[in-house]
Amino acid sequence: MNRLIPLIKKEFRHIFRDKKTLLIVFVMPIVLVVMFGFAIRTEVKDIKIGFLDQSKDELSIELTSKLLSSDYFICKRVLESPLQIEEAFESGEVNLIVVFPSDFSESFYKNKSTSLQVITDASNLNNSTIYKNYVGSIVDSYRQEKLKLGDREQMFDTTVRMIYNPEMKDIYMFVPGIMALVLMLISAIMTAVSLTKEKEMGTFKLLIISPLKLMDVIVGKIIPYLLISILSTVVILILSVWIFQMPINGSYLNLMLVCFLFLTTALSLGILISSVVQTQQVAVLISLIGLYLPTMLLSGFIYPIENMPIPLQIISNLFPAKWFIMAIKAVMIKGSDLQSIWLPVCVMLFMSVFFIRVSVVKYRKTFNV
Amino acid sequence: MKRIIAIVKKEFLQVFRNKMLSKIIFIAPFAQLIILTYAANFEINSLSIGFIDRDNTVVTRELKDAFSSSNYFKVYPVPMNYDKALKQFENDELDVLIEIPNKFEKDVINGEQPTISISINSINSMKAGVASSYIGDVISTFAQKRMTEEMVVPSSPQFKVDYRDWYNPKFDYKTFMLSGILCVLITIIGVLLTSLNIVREKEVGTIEQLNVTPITKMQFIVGKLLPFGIIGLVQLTLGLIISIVVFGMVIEGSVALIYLLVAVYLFALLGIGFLISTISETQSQAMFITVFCMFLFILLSGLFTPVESMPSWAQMITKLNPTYYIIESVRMVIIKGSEFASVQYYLMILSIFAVVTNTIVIIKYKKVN
Repeated sequence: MNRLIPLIKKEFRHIFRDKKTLLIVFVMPIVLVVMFGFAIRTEVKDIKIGFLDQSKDELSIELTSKLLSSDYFICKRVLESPLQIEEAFESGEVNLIVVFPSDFSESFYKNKSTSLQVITDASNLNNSTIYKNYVGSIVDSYRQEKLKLGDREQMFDTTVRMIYNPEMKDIYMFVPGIMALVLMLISAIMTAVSLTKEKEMGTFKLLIISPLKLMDVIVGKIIPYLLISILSTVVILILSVWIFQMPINGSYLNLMLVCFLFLTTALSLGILISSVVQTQQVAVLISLIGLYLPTMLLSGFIYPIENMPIPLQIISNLFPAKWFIMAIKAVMIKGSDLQSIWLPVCVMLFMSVFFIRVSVVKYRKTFNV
Repeated sequence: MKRIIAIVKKEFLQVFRNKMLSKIIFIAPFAQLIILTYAANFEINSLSIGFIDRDNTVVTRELKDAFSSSNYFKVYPVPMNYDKALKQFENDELDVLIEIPNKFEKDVINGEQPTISISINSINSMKAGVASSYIGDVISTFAQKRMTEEMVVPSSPQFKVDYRDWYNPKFDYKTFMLSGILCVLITIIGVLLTSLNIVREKEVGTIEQLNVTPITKMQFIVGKLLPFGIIGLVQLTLGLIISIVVFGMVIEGSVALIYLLVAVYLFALLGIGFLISTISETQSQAMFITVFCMFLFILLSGLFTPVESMPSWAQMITKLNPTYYIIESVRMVIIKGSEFASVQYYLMILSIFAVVTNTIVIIKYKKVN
């Protein structure tokens, strides 16, 4: 341990000497999480809607005003004929068009059943899914309104209870996801770069011929970064409770354990990357290319893992972020105890040990020690 | 001209000499393109549902069948105790829990409107929203069918919504994501290769050697831009080939227009990269500025979450984000088959980016220190 202290001191001096880097390493994760916490949402407002009303009767006018009185839609265009639909989409004037057929009310009063058409611009599928859900729910509530005025008796009632997130806040999925993405990338890049720099500059050899063991060098290199990232994680957690009203229903100890393990995994992944590359440029490229999109797409951050094809579900297990998101959601939102998160905890622990082991072997080979 | 060729040759040599680097540029992105395209899917089709059926009669069994025979749900066995069953939410094995009360069938027949209680795991608010609308569908269809069968009550009013997805009628997420992921990969590699380029020469000292050659500022910049522009276009070609061969993507518009858009985009992108490189003093600074930009560009590109859902300040940033313009316009050409006239706005903005960033680079880059 005594031998490690000078090394840790040296590393801290490196970090503090370069004020810009310190600022980046400590402040950037915080800024990114807060910024994207605000920016990344799925609730859409002010969707540009167009109407093609071929019936212009009581029901179609009522339903039109129902759609417009919700916060979701703004009427951008009233079309006169179906021929204008294509042009309205092409010009980007509208995102979706609601078409009422000429017998809209008539068919409703006669058969109790009528239909309308909703055309979306599905060249952006994310949006068109959301639009369709909004229209569907408004039409459905309108139907139920008509139903209460009408003659129907219901067969049975339903009550719906939303567990864990009664207000359906999307922040509950985005804050853990953004945290995972930002911490993963920045921690991995930080260590990968700082170790590769020593290699590139040739100072790594100097460290190796000192009485320090290889393991000491590696551990000594990551401790300062671990401390800095723990600090910024704590700030992020405080801000996410304070600004985004994230709950912390579990114990603080478990929360810290999960974060600590994730940071360690990310940092050791950085070491692993540094052990196979020669230049800083390649180190960053590998970290960014190898971690950015996979962490976003395969961690369950935005796209649910259960929906993916089986081979991808298996691959997703290889990414630490998946386990972190699983564990941190459990601790913060569900208030789970250690028993329920043993799996992600063990996986992250195993990953860090494995990454460090492999990198030590790699380094041994490279430097013949 | 000769001088430019010499610089181009040198840059290519530097890239291809590094085996690791060329692998990252030409293999890693395409592996990702193939794998990740399958991951991005918002269609939710495997919600696990559990029943606590306290009645266990013909009606309740039929109701359960209605759920299990729809494509969205798979039935998951749960204990008969509500609190115990709710525990299954905690380890994410269950998405929906439905509790059918005692004497359900009897109450239905007597017209007493019993209540079914539905609990939904809403940690992922989007998934919970979709689940709740699917449940509503299944239940109302079920109730409708039973009531018309038994003629107990006249059928209730109905509004059928007929959804049409224009431009992507099969609602194919893959085509939607392919162009986006391809643009993101080109972005990451383009910016990273250039942002570390000049600063590396500064750090290693080779910039001095270049400075003493007769090469002019313009020749230097062009010589540096060209190789990375070519690499970007080669990547685009490979990516398009993979999209067509592996995923059967159909390009509705003109391929030449895609190349024009991407070429201008690359020009802008490399300008940004060189700008970072000229203003940074060390590689690690350049790197972290790049990482920050990558977060901004990609998360605010509208690829994963709709731009329309962002707060207005984030939408402003999006307007300054070249990645947003390239993803939108390439998608328009590929999916909608847009012509030059429809994308000229995007092309113009990308050109402005290209001219502005490269002009700043030329002004900022001082050949003589």
